[in-house]
Amino acid sequence: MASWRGWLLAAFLLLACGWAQAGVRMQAASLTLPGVKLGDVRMYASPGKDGRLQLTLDAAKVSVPALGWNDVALVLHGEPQTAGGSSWKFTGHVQTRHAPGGALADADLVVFYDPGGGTLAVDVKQGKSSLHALMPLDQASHVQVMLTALPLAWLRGVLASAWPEGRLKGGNVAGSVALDLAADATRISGRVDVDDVDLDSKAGDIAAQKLGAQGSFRIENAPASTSLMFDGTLRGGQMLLGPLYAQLPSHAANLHVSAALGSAGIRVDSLDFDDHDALRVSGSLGFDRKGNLDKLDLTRFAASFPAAYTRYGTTFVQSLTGFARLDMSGSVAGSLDFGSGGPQSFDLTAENVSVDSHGGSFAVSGLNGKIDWHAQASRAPTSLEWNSLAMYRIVFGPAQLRLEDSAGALTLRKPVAVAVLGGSFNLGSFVWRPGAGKSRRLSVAFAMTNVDLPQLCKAFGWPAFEGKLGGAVPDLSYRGDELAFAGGLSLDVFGGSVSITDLSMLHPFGNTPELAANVDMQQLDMAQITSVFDFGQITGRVNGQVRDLKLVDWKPVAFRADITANGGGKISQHAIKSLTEVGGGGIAGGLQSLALRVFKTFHYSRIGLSCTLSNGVCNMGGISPDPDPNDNGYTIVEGSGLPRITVIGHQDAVDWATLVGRLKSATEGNGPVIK
Amino acid sequence: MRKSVFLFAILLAVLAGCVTINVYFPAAAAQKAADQVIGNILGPDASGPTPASPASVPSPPSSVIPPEGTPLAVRVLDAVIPAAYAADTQPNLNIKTPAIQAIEARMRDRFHSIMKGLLDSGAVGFTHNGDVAIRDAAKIPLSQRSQATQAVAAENADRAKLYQQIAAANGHPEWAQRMRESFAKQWISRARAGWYYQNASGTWQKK
Repeated sequence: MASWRGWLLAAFLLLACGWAQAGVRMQAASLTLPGVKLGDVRMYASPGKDGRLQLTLDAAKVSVPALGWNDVALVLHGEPQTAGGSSWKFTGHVQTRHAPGGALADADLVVFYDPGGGTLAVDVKQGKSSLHALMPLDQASHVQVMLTALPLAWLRGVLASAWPEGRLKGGNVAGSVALDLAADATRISGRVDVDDVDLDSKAGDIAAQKLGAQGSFRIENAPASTSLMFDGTLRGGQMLLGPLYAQLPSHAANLHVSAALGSAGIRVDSLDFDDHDALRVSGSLGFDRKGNLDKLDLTRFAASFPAAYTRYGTTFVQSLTGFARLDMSGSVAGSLDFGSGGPQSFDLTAENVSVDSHGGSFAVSGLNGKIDWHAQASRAPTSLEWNSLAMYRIVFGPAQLRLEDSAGALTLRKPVAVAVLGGSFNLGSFVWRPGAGKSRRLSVAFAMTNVDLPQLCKAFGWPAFEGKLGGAVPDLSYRGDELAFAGGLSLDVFGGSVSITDLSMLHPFGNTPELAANVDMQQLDMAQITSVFDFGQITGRVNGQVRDLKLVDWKPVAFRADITANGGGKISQHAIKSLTEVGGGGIAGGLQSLALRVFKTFHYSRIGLSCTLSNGVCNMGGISPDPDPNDNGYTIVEGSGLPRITVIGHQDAVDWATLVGRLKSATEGNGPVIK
Repeated sequence: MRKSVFLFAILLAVLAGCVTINVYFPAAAAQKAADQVIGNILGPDASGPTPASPASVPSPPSSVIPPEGTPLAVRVLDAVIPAAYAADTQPNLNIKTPAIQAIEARMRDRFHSIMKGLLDSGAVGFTHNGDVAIRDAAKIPLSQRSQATQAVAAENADRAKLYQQIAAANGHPEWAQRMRESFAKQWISRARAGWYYQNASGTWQKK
């Protein structure tokens, strides 16, 4: 506002000159007035056609720091006249070039100076936009401004000096604003209606687009901190505040907020937001100086889905869970208190909540009930139930959990059995300490019985194997980002059993989990395996183990595996070919090939194969100890009876991708042809 | 006298013991390793020249489930075959440890799910020090900004780990910075037309 006073002063200076002598021309290289700096200034005062005084001010470079004006070209032309008593009125036209937001590019200007009434009034009109400013002459730091359809871009320079990171791109403002521009503190308050606000920060973390708001506000800018208050409604558009993104509804949503911004961060002392059909929140929150949320105390919140999710929850949920799109319905209400030292308390009541993440990673339907937790106190028992729950495409049946908080540990009161894939999942114990250190936050024990393998395979999209899965995990822990299963799972498959122990999963909820486990295979019937795999028929029982198995993105990257069949049995011509191909060999001519042509099956006494995968290379071995250490290779099949057939591998190190490729071509039946 | 002789002997021994062993950073091998790792992450450029081995193109992350109709064993094997391509040229540096493969898998997944879009739009570019950075946040819709910021932070954390892990896997943890420099060059040379990268002085350039 200093600028208005500056211009006025300049005009009166010139006026005084003009009055003394008509047709005065003044030129100055620079002219400095309070808050205004004019460079390359020319002023003319001359009588017009009607004899009345005409005043022209032409400044090539006008700088008004308060408005963010820097070297703006300005031409002011008009007619000063007395308006009774000691009052003066200046009516004219102002044109600027290079002013932020095109402010006063082509505007009408009326200045009314009334020393008798003690006021100075300025009216500016440009197109639909107008500004009316009024200031008492005895208290020039206090300005009352009425605005109509004023482009916010005019204030771009003001914003730039207050918030250098900010970029104000569009929007209009109307309303009345009172400015108190004291030397040590600035106070701005008023009632405004802004629409189509388009602003962005340089880093892009604070932004608004097409935002509308209406209400009263107060900003107090003291040297140490800035406090602000808004009480009104938000309407339409989108807003981004760090991780919080809101797609506001087209109807008005009530907002009351009062906050303080200081060097220690942002403190929102009171927040009340009411978008009645989606989200209602009351409470307080705080951000540290880096912009991280360090305190969140919601004394009351109620969310109705899907509106609460689609309008306010999409990016927040994604940053917490990684799910880009959820289908949600139902409602959640309650309160929560998270301090800088972690969660203090929460109670949440779900009503008929359904969530579906698409793709089967997570889905729940008919979730009802309540959880109630406090870090220091004990709470009354609650119950939580669902109709169905799906994780990693495994669907669990309905269940009801009875939970109770005792001194900060949310505990399952009695074991629960849940139907899963034709079998049963028995949750024996569940203790969750949200306030505890990571290592003891979660402790779970469960057992699985009689789970149907074909259904499990189908859930994962794997080829279906007949069998059952069971097992007990006495302690499941979640540390850092690693889910570790003590105990083990066992699968009854192929007439034998496969047990999986030392199972752990890194980044279990990320897109590329890493899995580690040890696998033991006992007494598997090779006849059943080979019939499923089209590898060629082998009979007999096989034992094996896979130690230190590591899967990345569900693909093996390291293991030490070996399989042995020591009981003897029969092996078909096709299986011999397959094994030979895996070992990297072809079938030589002569007696071997003759035998293979004549006989369809052979007898073996032992089969053994091992592979240690590391760094993309599989180090192969055969029956251990090697029955013929002088054969310059490793024995895979040791024959018995006549014709006696022995398969010897000679390639020790095979590229893993190549090996899998060989297995693939062996089982596709397009390996080398024996002639 | 005896004492001074003794000291002289020690001095001689120390001087004789000052043997310098120079281990040179294998720049060419690092370049080759970087090229292969980056190739595995970015995959073939659909708009650019066809890669040397189109048959073993990495499968997109969603195709964990092999299609129906193929033989059962092939479907099982498809599920275990590593999703890396260009296995024909092995660099002299070890880049196949589980840790490196895990980072590579995460980066590949991130590239396909979000990073490619950010690079294509010019919102994100390759920095001259082997990282990525948001170049122009205004190019990202408001609803996706937070996700993009997270992705950039996660990508840079993974890149730092990748450079360290490759250095460590080859017995020289102190090579991490040199490895980063090799990767920085290679990311830029592998950048696709229209992507942005920083030149040596840090100015953004469009490829």
